Amino acid sequence: MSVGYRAVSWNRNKQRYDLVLLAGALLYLGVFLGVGAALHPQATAETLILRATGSGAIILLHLILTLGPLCRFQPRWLPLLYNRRHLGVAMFCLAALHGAFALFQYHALGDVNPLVSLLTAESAWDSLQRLPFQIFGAAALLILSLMAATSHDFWLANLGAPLWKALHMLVYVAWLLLVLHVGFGVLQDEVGWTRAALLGLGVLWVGGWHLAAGLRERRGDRSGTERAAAGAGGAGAQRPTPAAAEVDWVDTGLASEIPEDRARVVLLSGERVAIFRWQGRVAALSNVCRHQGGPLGEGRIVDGCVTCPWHGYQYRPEDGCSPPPFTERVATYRVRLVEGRVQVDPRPAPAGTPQEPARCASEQTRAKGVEPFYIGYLPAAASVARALRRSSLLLLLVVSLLAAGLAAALGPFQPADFEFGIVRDFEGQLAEQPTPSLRVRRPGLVAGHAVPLVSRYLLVAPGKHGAESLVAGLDGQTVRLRGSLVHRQGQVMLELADAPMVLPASAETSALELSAAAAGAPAEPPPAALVLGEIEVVGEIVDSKCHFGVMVPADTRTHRACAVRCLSGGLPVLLLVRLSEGGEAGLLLVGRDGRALNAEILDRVAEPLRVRGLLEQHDDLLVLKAEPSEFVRLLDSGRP
Amino acid sequence: MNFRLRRRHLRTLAVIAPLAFVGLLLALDARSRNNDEVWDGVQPRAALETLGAIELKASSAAPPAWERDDLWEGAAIRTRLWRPEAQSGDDGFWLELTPLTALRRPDVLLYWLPDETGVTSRAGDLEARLGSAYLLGALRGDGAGHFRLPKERVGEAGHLILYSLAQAEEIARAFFPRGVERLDDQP
Repeated sequence: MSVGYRAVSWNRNKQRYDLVLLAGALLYLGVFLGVGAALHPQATAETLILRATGSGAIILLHLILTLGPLCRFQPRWLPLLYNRRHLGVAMFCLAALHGAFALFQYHALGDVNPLVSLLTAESAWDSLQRLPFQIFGAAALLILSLMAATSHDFWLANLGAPLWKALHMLVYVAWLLLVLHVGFGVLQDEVGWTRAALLGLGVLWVGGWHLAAGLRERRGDRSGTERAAAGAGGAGAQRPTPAAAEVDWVDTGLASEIPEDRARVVLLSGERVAIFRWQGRVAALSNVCRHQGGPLGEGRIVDGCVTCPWHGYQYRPEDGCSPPPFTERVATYRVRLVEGRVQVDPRPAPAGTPQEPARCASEQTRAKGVEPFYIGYLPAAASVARALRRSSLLLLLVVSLLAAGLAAALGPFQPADFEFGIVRDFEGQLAEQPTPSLRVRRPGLVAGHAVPLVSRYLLVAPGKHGAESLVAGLDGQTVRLRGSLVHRQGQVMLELADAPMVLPASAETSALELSAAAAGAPAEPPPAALVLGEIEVVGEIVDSKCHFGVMVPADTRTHRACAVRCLSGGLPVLLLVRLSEGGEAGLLLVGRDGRALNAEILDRVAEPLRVRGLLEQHDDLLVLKAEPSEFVRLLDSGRP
Repeated sequence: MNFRLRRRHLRTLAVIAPLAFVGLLLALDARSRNNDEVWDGVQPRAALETLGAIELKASSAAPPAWERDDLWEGAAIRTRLWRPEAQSGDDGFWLELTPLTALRRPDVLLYWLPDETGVTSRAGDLEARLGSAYLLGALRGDGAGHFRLPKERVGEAGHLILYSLAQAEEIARAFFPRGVERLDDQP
């Protein structure tokens, strides 16, 4: 939109802007993922992607929200504001990537639709400490989707500026939801304060700049009002009374004090009015751009037109109309000059009404210390272009450092592995109790002390499903099966590629029953289940598959929704006990009668519980038999 | 219009910002309780050790007979040996293995393979020979593992072998030409 008939669409500046934006986004993701993978090789790729996209989106959102107030203080930020919608769409893309990954990782491949799972996996709305946090993120993403979908002048023109602007002001609601999403989610389980402090700083940053800009405008309004009041006693000036039939001119100060091609903004009858001076003339327009409500009074006269600082929309100062072929119009005001002072009729004329500019001396009073005016669709002045190039490089450097710093601050992560895509063959004896598992004989002689002679590999199906249906009826059979290893600190799980194949009984395959004799040393074979005794521990219920290595990290509240889905699908329930000195023990959790507890513990996942039960050793697998009714919740103490 | 809108936005922000701030504080408070108070007061290691659910540490407070970080081929592992203590009545030799970097291997078993059986890296051959090796226990990979050695074997030449049963692969080995007890005498 300009007097030169250049439509506001793709232009060189926008292309460069988007190129820098794309480079910044890719650089952030690349550095975050690279540094994260290098410093935290234990973390799974999904975790790094989730955190890179999530943190990138929220950082960009903070920048976007700050641009408006920043530009009120320092016009050099205007080039960023010019294409802010593209920033917003880029931020939405990052947020959408984060949401899509989270939805797939935490909710897909389970026993219910992922969207249903998103809404139902967590339901503790009455507990602050267990408040579902993913919903906040999903709601924010919904708002951001609406905004991204309407981030085009087509929608601006069809919805009208007020409605479009109101819709896009929802960004503040989205921001609040994201603060809650991060605050109630990621941060609650972290040990360090770095990211909590960063989030708090972000809230203060956005709030602080808005507050500062608001106060500055308020001061400006007061000063304009005071100027008008002070001039009210001047020649022919009276206090405005809109109902009066006579014109109540309002004195707004000396014309000579308005810099050439610039405006003074005054508050008249509750509306801001921009009084421009150019080439010995003075005219007054509404301060509000019809495009997105930009402050025309902070713009300039360019090519004889008032030019909005935000996106360069232009209006003729004489009649408030955009030059043809454009049709935007703003309200105009009558002006006159009395003894060098500008007086304005406070009653706005209908938008586009021609007004005779007042004539004043054509002295060239240029604003001092003001940088060249940036208009996004026009070639930038050489000094501005130079500054933009330098700023772009600086921005990319800051982005890289920020990404590296945040990635370095991740973790700590425990080592765990999933041999995704690698299928191996295994032979052993199937056991359906206490959970589907494969008993694999350990070769060798024993030295006379208690070393389990059999390893137990837990069996699960692909996705978030248990293996019960695959192994039903095979208890005690010797089988050959194919699967992918999932393992963590000595504990092993197999994700079955297909159903186990039963092997014919033979001396070799019945070795498990004779394991002790084969080993040669103990006279008596050890029992399959060794009762160790009653124990009381504090632990956290996790889903064994993610915990063993499909996802790292796979505990605490960030993983709760996924754990609920996994356990709901039948994966073995594990009680993760954190030992002193940094170690951990994973105890398979079943009822005292050996039943699977999956359906009974879904509302107690990923929170500290005090559990008393009978500890047994099944080969090398520790099994805790306990009743959920006796679990003691350690958060929200006193709750059942 | 813009002026009124801005005033409305300022008022809205004045509500939103304190709400967000309070929300954050509450969240952090919950976080603090979650991590700092709940978990730290619990020491289940002793209970699990007592029940024999996890490996006992070498009971002696005495310094080990020897300690070496360079014995193993294939992995960086700190190895320490404790000799039997007459006063404790424990006549076993304890070996402590501490991976210096996480092993990240599934089902890692430690074997003592006497030298007279010969040793080879070939998988099939090794698996066959493990049948006549002594299984000392499993190494979890997240910290030190403690293993009791057959006392009749400590003076014989042989190999300690770490073997991943799930991957059917040797991970690392250490050779003791004069047995594990007299490591100090070895070159």
